[in-house]
Amino acid sequence: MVFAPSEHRRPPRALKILVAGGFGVGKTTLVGSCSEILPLQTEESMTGASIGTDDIVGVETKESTTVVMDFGRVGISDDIVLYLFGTPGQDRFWFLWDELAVGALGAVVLADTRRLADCFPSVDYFERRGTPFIVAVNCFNGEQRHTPDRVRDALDLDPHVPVVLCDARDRQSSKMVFVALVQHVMAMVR
Amino acid sequence: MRPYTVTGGRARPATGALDLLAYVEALYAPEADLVSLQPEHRAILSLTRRAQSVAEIAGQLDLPIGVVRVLVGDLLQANLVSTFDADNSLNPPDENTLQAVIDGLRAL
Repeated sequence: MVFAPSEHRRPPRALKILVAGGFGVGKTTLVGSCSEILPLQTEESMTGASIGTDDIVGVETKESTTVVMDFGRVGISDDIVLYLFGTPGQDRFWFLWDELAVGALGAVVLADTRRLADCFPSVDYFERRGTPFIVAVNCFNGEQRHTPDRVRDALDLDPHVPVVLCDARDRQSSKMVFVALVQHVMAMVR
Repeated sequence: MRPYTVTGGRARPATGALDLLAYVEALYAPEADLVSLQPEHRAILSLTRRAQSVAEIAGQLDLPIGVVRVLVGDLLQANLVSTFDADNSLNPPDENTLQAVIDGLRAL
């Protein structure tokens, strides 16, 4: 059976937001608490010449790596869809970020104040790329160890970069993180 | 099952690489009488009666994105699906779009 050409071929506008941060900081939780579809994890398999220390000199080695990314979706309207991508946490998969970052509206760097240094690489990455980003401090169990200002100082952020507190498990709290990011993007476009 | 068993070990699509957010739309029903189709191909045809992005197909079918790209490539070659890019003409988006996103998020 051949389908009749679809009536509304106009593709929806797809906007992409990245969620970055160290391993175990709550990226999956943050994406999942806002996504209207069940928190999905997609795997990106990469095959390439292996890089690094485990090369055996003189032997051509290939390495196939599977990277798990979190993926969520929020339908904004009939013609706008927001996609949330949790970036792979491990440093060795940074090459994947470039593909994800192309055309991204902006990024949320999720931070855990117990391990603040874990989010340095993400902050550096988005600063270098010029991708608008905000820092969201995930307050596990409502625990707040540092004020946003202290986090800003510790991360040496530009004064215009917003720092917000959130509980990644809570939808109301999580959605405001993304609202803060879009507001930040809006302020930068103006 | 190892993920690339589905693709017969092929890691790259027969056609060019597809963007994560490229849309795929079925041109044929999944019951299409084509012996060469694997269950995963049919699953993609079934899922894309309404256009879906590559990332979304991967998520829904619990398949790696690389595998979905190969399978969609097969379907493209057989003219069973069409693909088109998401509308990025408003990139960066205008203020109205951004406001719509903010309102949509608040309504969650």
